[in-house]
Amino acid sequence: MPTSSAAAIAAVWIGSPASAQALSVRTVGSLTSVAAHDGEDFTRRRDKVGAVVQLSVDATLGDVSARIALDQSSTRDIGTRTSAVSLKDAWVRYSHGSIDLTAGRQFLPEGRSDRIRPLDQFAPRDLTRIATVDARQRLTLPAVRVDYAVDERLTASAAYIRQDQGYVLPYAVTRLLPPGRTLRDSPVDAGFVEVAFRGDGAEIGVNLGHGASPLPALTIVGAQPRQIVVAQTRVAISGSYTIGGGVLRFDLAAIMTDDAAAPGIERRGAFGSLGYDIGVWANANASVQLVARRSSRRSVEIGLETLAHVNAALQQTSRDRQVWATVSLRQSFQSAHDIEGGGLISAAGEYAGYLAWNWRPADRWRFSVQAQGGHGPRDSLIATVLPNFRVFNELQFSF
Amino acid sequence: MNGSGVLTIERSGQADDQWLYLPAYHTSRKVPANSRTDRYMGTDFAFEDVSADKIAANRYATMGSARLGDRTYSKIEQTPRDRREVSSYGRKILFIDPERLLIGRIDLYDRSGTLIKQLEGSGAVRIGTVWRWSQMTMTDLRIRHRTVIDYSDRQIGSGAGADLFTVRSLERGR
Repeated sequence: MPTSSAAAIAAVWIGSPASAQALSVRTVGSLTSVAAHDGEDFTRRRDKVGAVVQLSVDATLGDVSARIALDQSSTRDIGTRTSAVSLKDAWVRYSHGSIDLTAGRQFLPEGRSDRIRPLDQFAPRDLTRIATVDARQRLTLPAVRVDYAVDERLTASAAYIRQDQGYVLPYAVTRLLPPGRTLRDSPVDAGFVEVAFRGDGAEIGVNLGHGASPLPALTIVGAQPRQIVVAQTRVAISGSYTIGGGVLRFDLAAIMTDDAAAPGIERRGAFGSLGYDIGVWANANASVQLVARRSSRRSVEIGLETLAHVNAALQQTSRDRQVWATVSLRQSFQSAHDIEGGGLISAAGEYAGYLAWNWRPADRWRFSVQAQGGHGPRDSLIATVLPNFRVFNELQFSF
Repeated sequence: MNGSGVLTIERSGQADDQWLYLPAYHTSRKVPANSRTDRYMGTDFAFEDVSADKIAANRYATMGSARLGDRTYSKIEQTPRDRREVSSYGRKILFIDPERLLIGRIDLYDRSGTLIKQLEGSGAVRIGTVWRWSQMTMTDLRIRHRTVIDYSDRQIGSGAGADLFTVRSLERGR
C-alpha cells in the first residue's frame, strides 16, 4: 500500500467517520470567565470581569453534516462586542463523490499565515475579544461554498459570500469613527475561486477574491466625515512546504481597492508573509514570520490630507512600505503546563510582546494568565489593535 | 473535536508530512512533524503516540517476561538510537503477547527515566487471522488522567487503497 516515497502512513479520526449512517450528535460547551486590566483607556472600561458561554452542536447523518455554534458573553469588551447571543457557525454540508457543498454561516479560512495575515478579506477577526486562543477571534460569514476534488491532489473551490462583517475593532478606534455605512448594516455580495494542489510535502493554492475591504474607510458627505465600505479585489498565491523537519508557510497577495470614494486608501498593494514553524526540542515549538507590505495610492487633494491619513491608518497602510517580524516559542511542562512567549518588531518602530502561562489543573478545566503589551506610532498596526499593556486571566470549564 | 483528524505520511530519509483537519474550517493545516511531542487535541495521546515508531531509529533489548492478568508477556526495551531525536520519551517498555502478537502495555518513560504514561489494551478480539484490542487506554501518570479509544466495526484486509491516506480523504473522514 505505501507509495514508493512513503515508508508508512497513518490516519486517525476523532469521533464518528463521515460515512457513518447513523445520526451522530455531539454537544460541546464551555464557560469562560475573564478578568482583564488594560493599562490605558483602550476598551470601554479599564478593569473587566465577565463570562462567556460557548455552545456547539455537531451532527452527521450519512453524507450530510451540520454545525451550530453560539456564544453569549456577559458584558461588552469581553467575548463578543455585545451581550447579545452571537451565532458563530450555522452550516450544513453535503458531501458526495468529489463534491462538498457547504451552505450557511461558516468560517472561510484564507491563506496559511498565523500571526499577521495578508489574506483576511473573508476571514476577519473580532479584535475586541479578550482570549488566550487567537482562534476565538475568528468571525464567520454567510456563504455557499463548493469544493470539487478533481483528483486526490487537486481541489477547486468557489464561494458566494454575503459579506456582512469585517474586523471588529477595539473601542479605542470605534469611538472615533463617525456614523455611516458598515458591512453589518449594508452587506455586500462577494466571492472567491481557488485552485489548490497538495502532494509530495507541498501545498500551493491560487486564489481570486472580490468583495469589500474588511476594514472601514471614511469619506466626506456634506462636509461631514462618514464611514463607507470600499470594494476590494485580491489575487493571491499561498502554500506550505515541509523542510528541515518544520513547515515553511507563505502568502503573497496583490490587492486592488476602489480608491475613488475614499482619499488616502491604497489603490494597489502587495502583501507577503513568509513563516517557519518547527519543533525545536522536546515539548517545544517555535515559529518565526517575516511580513512585508507595499502600497501605492493617488495623490490627495488639498484639504483632504487629514482624512487621507486617517483612512490609511484605518486600512493599516499608513506607510507605503511596511515590514514586520514576529517570533514565538511555546514550551510544555509536565503535561499540565505550558508557557508561551513571543514578540513583534517593525521597521516603523513598533514593538509588542506577550507572555502566557496555561495550566490544566484537572479534567475539563483550564486556567491561563497572559500579559501583553506594545507600542508604536499612533497610526501603526500595534497602536490600533493593542493597548499599551494588558493583563488578563481566563478560567475555562468545558462541558 | 468530533470529525477532526490527523494524517501522517512518513517518508524514508525525509521529514514526515503531518496534516491536521478541523471540520469547522473544512481545510487541513500542515503541522510540523517534529511537533510530535504535542498533545493530540487535548487528549493524553501525543502526536508521536498516534504515529508508528521507525524501527531503524531505535534499539531493542529483551528484558525477560512478565505476567499481565492471566497471560505472560515478553518485555522489550526500546530506546532511541539518537538522543537528539525530538521526543518526550527516553525509553519505552513494550509488553508483547508472543502468542497473539499483541502489545498489551507500553510503559513510557521521559528522558530522565521517570515513568510518565502507560498505554494499555483490553478486550482482545480475533479478526480473521489476527488479534486486535477493542479498547486502548492512555494514562498520563503525571496528571492522573486517561483517554480511552474504543474500536468498533474494525475490518482488516478489506482492500483499503492508498487513496484513503490522502489529505482529501482526511477531510472527507472516509
